[in-house]
Amino acid sequence: MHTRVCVTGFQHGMLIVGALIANGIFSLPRVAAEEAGRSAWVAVAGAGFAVLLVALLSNRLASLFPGEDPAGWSTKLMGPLLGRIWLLLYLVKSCFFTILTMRIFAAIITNRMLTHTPSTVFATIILVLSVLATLAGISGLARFAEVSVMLWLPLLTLLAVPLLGGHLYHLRPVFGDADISGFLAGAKAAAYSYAGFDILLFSYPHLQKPRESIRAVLWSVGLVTAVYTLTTVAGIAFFGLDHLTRLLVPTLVMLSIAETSVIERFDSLALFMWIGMVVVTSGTQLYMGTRLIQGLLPRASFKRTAVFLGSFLLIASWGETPLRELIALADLFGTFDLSFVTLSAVILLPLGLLAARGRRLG
Amino acid sequence: MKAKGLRLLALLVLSTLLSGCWDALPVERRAFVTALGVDWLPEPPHYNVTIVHPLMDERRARENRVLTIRANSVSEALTVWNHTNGQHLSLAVLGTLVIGEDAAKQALSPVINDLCSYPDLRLGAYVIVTRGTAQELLSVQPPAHQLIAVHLRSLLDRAIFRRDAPHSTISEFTTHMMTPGMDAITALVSPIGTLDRRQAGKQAAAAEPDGQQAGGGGGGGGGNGGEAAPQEDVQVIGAAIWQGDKVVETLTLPEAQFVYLAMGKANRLMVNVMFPPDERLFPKQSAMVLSMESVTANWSLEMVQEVPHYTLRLQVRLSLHNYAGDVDLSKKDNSALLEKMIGDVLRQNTLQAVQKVAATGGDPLRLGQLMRRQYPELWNSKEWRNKIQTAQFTVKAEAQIRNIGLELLRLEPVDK
Amino acid sequence: MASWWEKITAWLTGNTAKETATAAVPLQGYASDLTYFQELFRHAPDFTVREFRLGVDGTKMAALYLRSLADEARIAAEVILPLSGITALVDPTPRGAGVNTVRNRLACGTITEVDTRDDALNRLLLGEAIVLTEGLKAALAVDARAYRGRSLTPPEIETTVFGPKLAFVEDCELNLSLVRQQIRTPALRIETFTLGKRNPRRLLMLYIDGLATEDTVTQLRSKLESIDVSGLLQTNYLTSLLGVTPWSPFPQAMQTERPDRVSGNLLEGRIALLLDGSPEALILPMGFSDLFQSPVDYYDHYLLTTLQRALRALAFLIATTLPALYVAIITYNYEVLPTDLLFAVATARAGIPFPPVIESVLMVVLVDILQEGTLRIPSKIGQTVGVVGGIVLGQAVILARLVSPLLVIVIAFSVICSFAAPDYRLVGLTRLLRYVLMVAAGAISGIGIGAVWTAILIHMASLEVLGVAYLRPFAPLRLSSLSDFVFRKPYHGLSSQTQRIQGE
Repeated sequence: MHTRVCVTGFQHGMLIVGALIANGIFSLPRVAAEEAGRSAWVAVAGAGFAVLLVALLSNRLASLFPGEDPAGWSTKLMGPLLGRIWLLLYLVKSCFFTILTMRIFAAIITNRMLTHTPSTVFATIILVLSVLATLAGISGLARFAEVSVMLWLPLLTLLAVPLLGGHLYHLRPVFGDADISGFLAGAKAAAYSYAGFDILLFSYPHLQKPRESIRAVLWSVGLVTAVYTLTTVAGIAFFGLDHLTRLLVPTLVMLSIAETSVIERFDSLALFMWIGMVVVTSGTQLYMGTRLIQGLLPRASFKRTAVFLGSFLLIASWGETPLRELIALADLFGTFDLSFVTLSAVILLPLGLLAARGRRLG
Repeated sequence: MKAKGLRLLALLVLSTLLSGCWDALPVERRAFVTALGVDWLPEPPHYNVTIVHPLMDERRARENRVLTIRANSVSEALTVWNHTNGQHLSLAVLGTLVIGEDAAKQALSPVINDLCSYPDLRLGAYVIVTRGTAQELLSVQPPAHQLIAVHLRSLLDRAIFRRDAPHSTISEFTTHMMTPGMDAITALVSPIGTLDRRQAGKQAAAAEPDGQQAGGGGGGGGGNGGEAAPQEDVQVIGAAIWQGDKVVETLTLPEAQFVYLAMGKANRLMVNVMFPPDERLFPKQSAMVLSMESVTANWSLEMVQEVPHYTLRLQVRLSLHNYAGDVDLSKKDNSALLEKMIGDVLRQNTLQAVQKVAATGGDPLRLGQLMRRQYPELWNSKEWRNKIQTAQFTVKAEAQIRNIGLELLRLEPVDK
Repeated sequence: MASWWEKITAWLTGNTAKETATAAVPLQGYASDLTYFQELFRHAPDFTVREFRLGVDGTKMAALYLRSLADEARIAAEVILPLSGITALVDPTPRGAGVNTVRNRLACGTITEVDTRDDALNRLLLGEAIVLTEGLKAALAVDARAYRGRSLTPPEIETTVFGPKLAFVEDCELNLSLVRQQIRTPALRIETFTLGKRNPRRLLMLYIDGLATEDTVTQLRSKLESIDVSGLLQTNYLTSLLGVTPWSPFPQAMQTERPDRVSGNLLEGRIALLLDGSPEALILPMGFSDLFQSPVDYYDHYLLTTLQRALRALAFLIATTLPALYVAIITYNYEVLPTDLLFAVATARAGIPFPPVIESVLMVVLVDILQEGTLRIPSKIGQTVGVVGGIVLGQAVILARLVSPLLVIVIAFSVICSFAAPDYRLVGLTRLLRYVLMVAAGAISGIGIGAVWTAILIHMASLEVLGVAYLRPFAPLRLSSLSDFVFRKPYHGLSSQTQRIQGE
């Protein structure tokens, strides 16, 4: 298969950032603080560090198969049966992630802004946009991610406005509330926010300069970790622990409190524009799902598969689910996602290294 | 197949785009609640909810509609309003939440919970307590044809800027209410001139037997038949100290100002302070206005036999107005002496205010949070209020005069 | 397989017969070829056959040309007169020798040997003269074209305060000379193509060797060679023929009437296309950022240019999004506005019978119709109509309480912002996007605006023009190129490297 080499190192990093930052950031301060108390921000930073390690392992795994993504090398590495089972599990995970991403954002809109409109309307819009993004191919998706992240990530600087009314004493003492198990639980709770970096397995084969990938992984995961940590700090500083743990989406509430003389509420404006970031996340997952299906059915056409998968996911996720249930589901899913990716990296990397060594000796 | 797929996609997109009109409601069909008042009545339904919204009609654009509904809860009152009027109420531009004196002494958390169930609630709305009832306050007809809600909000903005009132929004109030170790402090306001005006109105009505009404509806103020009635207005008269979701004490404005000083939130505050006579500086007891340019308030805590000893170190840089003495303040000895005197006066007043606040059990100074941070092993979220009440306080104040005006010595006529 | 453009053209011209590819017919000989061309052009009164004989032995020769395209005086002076003096052809039967003798005798500059009837026909139609010689199965094509177009005039659309005041005309040779005057380097490559089977036109492809990427040149060359059309009238037809996403409303090739703009872009590594008969040049590849650049940018101070470019980008955003934001905020998201402004807006809208989205669309349609009308009215009364339409109608709709005054301000500002675009096609794009965004905002609030912009970004991200991303220099991000997008560095800070268009 001729793989088009069209993704720059910067785009590779931006794909990771875009795939990571979407809905999780809205509830992250609360879910982390519920488990880890005032050390939630440290737990979030720790989770970021762990994710970075796994991402580097995944990057190494991808580098063993130049020109091929998991759809191509999985069966070669694990054998046809195991490879297909792994692909199927991966596909289910990606599909579920796509559904969760679009449903949560749709539920946030109908919860906070347009309370009478069915959330299915917004879920459909996000899914249609995700299909369009997928149809653009990896090069289009990478460019879209690059521009979207550059445009919309700075929105988070709006959090500086409510932070001026925050109090750092809410953060002290940092390790007073939770012990090591609480700290780990806080890190685990951040799993959903950190899910999605495995897009690097799919964009690596298209890199123009593969040696730039490590740097891209480092700065992208580092940036996301910094953003998440600062958001968690802001949440705790502004609301205090007791209030924070009672808010469903504290980051949005913080944005709604930010007032200036020109714009009185930033949460609505932020949601208008944040849809771009959400589409990057769901688009990357949909792209992965499409490629995984092609791995299972090699003759499937990319465009038709993407449209089919998108339509299928829309129908499969039809209905209204309360936001709080979706967020709880996302927490569970996040753990599963990270576990899957970590286990895959940990198990497949040695296998891949052995196989590569065998190829060299052979 | 490709064309069919594209058509299907287009249909899907189109149908979703065109179907989302459930929430479409132009602004002129909404009623924006600009102020909300909550009063408590002993008999059920307990709440008297006063809703203020401007009339969105270009002919009556400067008029408020003030409606009071008696209900079991705030949301019930808002629902009743929605049912009986053609417009849809919105809390998105709520400026002020006014709590009547009696309601403030009841648990406010049901009201807060009620309001927070509205996703469009403006969390930046101010929370204030009023003398008397919120209904009376929101019936005030302010000067210069302003709407009461707009007038109230701008009054509070100016007071907060001057540090005559604390910045207490619904969001901050909720955080204080829920966090052990800190309590809310809100502005205390009062209507003025309303009783006099209404009295004058009644007199004028009695003097006009043909039924001509004195005073009008609408947003204008003052002016009716007979003698001119005093202008109605609202003023900030102090602060209300909360304990959780109930008010436990009210402070006068001077007391409240020193509490803000102790909180370190007193930049731009102007306090009128009485100085005792001093043979070196003042011939007799004098009042001077101190304008705080910058204030640093550092609290420290020491537990002595399980009794908290709080120490407040105040560093104040101020400007001096209305200096009553006649010595040359450009001389360092003289200014140092005056600064020491000012420091003493600030210390005494601040200590008095802090002790009064601590005795109530309310903790706007966040003394409990300090205890939690410094002595986490001794911190008990259920017992901290008692500990605050038994706490000992020490205040140390250093003042630095930055600005005394244009003259070195008093300007006096040559004949004197 | 005929492309969709071919089908449309054929349908429009009523000629739906399929073109069957035929093998090129070689020249048969003097008499046969002469009869063939006379028969072919029997209904063309400007078709001229000037027969004459060579010198003493009377070898027949004929000069064939179209009087409306060729310069008769030049043909007489450069072809007939010199050939009349030949006394004999040296060894006429070997084809090459005879042709060379004739060639050596001709007094003109450009002489091409043709050996097929199709080639000869194409050259006739391009204005060249064909010289047939008895006994030879090859003919010579002589460039004796007459220029009967307009003289050089200043640009009408892309006007500037400073800089050259010349615009292209309909003759591509003259246009080429204008470019040559700016680019005086032997590295300037010019490749010639003839496009159009029934209506052939000459197309020149210009690029600078060493600056233009080889891949891009090769791609464009192969695309041009594969174009199979009956005829081509304007350069903008080429954009769809070159296969650059025809269904996208985003312009993907620059059109310009200014030689200095062509020269500047050639120096940046782009490729220019000059079509005979079209006064606009086409420049490829083009990115979205190029729509905000104006020729005047390089004649002004760099700080001023930076400000102007930022204003243009802001104007584009305002022009497309402001009416939609008005609809979204008034209908759904009023909480965004400051309270005083909100009350003023609500009060102004009291009594307006239409929902905000209908109100906005009506106003925009009104303004667009006014715009369309003033374009076609003679310029002397166009201004009056514009004033009457704009001011009187605008005032009337407010007084009649059909729309709110704020909307009139919003729409007027948006329209003015749309004209801040340096490229006229951006105005059209703005109008289109404005409608889409308004409808989306009216349907699902600001989320609709966000969704449409996301869709636009996705579309632009997927566009590539000759292998170059449409969103460059933002995606892929090239910091060096950013110095000539919004910011314009002073000339000493701009290197040729910063501006090279690099393919992916």
